[in-house]
Amino acid sequence: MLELTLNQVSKHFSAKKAVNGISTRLTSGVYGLLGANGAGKTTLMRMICGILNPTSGEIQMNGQEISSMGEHYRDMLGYLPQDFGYYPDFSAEEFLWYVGSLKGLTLPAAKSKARELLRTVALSEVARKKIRTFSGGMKQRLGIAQAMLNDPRVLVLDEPTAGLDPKERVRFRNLIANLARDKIVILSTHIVSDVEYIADQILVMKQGGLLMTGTVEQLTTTMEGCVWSCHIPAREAEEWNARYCVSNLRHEGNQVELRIVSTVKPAHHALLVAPTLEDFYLHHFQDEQVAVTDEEKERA
Amino acid sequence: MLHRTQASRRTSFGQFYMTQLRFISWKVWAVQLLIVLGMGLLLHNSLQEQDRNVQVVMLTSIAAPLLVIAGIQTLTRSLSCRMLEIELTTRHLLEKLTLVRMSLLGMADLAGLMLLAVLLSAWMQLEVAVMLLYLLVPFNLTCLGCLWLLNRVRTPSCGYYCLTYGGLVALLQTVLTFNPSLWLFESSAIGLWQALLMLTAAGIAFEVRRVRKTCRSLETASRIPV
Repeated sequence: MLELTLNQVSKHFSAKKAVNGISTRLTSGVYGLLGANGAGKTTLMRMICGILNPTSGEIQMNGQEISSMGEHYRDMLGYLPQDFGYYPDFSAEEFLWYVGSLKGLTLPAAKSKARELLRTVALSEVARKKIRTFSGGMKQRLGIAQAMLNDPRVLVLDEPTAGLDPKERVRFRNLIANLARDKIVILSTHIVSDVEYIADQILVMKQGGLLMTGTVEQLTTTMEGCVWSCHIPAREAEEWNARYCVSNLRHEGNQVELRIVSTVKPAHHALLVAPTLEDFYLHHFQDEQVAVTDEEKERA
Repeated sequence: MLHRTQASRRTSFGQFYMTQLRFISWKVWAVQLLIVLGMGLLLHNSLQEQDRNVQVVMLTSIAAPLLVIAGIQTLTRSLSCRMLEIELTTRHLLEKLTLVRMSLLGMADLAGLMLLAVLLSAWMQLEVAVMLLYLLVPFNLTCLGCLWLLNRVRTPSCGYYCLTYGGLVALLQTVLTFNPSLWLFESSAIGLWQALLMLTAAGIAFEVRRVRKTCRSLETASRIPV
């Protein structure tokens, strides 16, 4: 049984409080860190990985401070950073052998595991190609593979689906779902649908703190009675968009159908609809950043 | 059972050390070999033209900064290729990795300089130790400067600063080769060379200790905003 405990963990950079007094207890399962850019997700993940030291508070694995566990903790850790590069002169398999050597695997063990993982992330056919020839999605898949080389028991993935196309994202979700047994998987994203499908528990971060924790159902339940659907003339759409938090807009001839997140009924003819996690996100983060929807991400 | 299986797949430090040899690009070793062979050839040709020339020693010593330059990108590529975060979370940490890379490259450089010192000594009928002294001082000076930069300029362009510094040392040596200060190579100046060697070696030891501290966390290992 794994237990990762965060006890009043804070990280300050000069005057800025990137993470502010977070306490939580994580056991086996998939945890989605959801929050706008700058919410402190990456800083928190870096502290969990031991590459940043908390300004105050402590992080424990099975009751032992991770900083005192040294290589024993790193042995059970797999990490995919958000912004990372590769040695461009390495081929995919050489890169995995290299990371395997850093993770303390013997070369035969690294080669065997690399072969298996390259197949898992569908890169077997380009295993001997230089990484500099890879697309963004291929590099991201290779990044996921390197994180899993040492069969980690704690897998920390920072924006793992960035750069993946919809098909690759589905494959990734299934991969994580299969992997998650007996592991703590922590992944951060601001693509709501990713955590919606994969995560058992969602940790919502805002301005360095933990705003809320719960399953998708628990979080969306808090939004009941706050999501509305109504039809308005198309010429008024812009005005409504400015006045309310509109989570979706669909043109139907001269009319538009709006999905509005609001604690008050926006119009007498507005109908209550079932809330989604995206509505929850928009409600809490509308002032900070508009959520990146699947469509927007794909367009990007 | 699982732990025992995993343990059998884990490397010792010695195995890790040897494995890193294959991850240093063959181009680095090839360039180092070319520098040593090129200098050896240049030395041989120069000695046929003029016997026992101070200029020959000066010219040969240019190999020292060139050898450091050849390997410097290997030391700074964790930064320049944004691999720091991964290398800070693995069993063998960035700190160990950097020291291993330094020692592998350093040993290759020293072997090359040793070879040149032996050639110089054989062809000029002078003591190997003295020849080595003339080669090691510029080598140490280049290493010290690069380590100083490596510890203070933790940005992806750190390698280019080191390259520039090494290039300047080589340039200075080239200028001195054509305007030699003969008194520097008289036997009375040996003490000065020895003092310089000791001083630069102490500086290197200090900077290597600092490299270990620098490579321990993301905040010290990178000046990129975290």
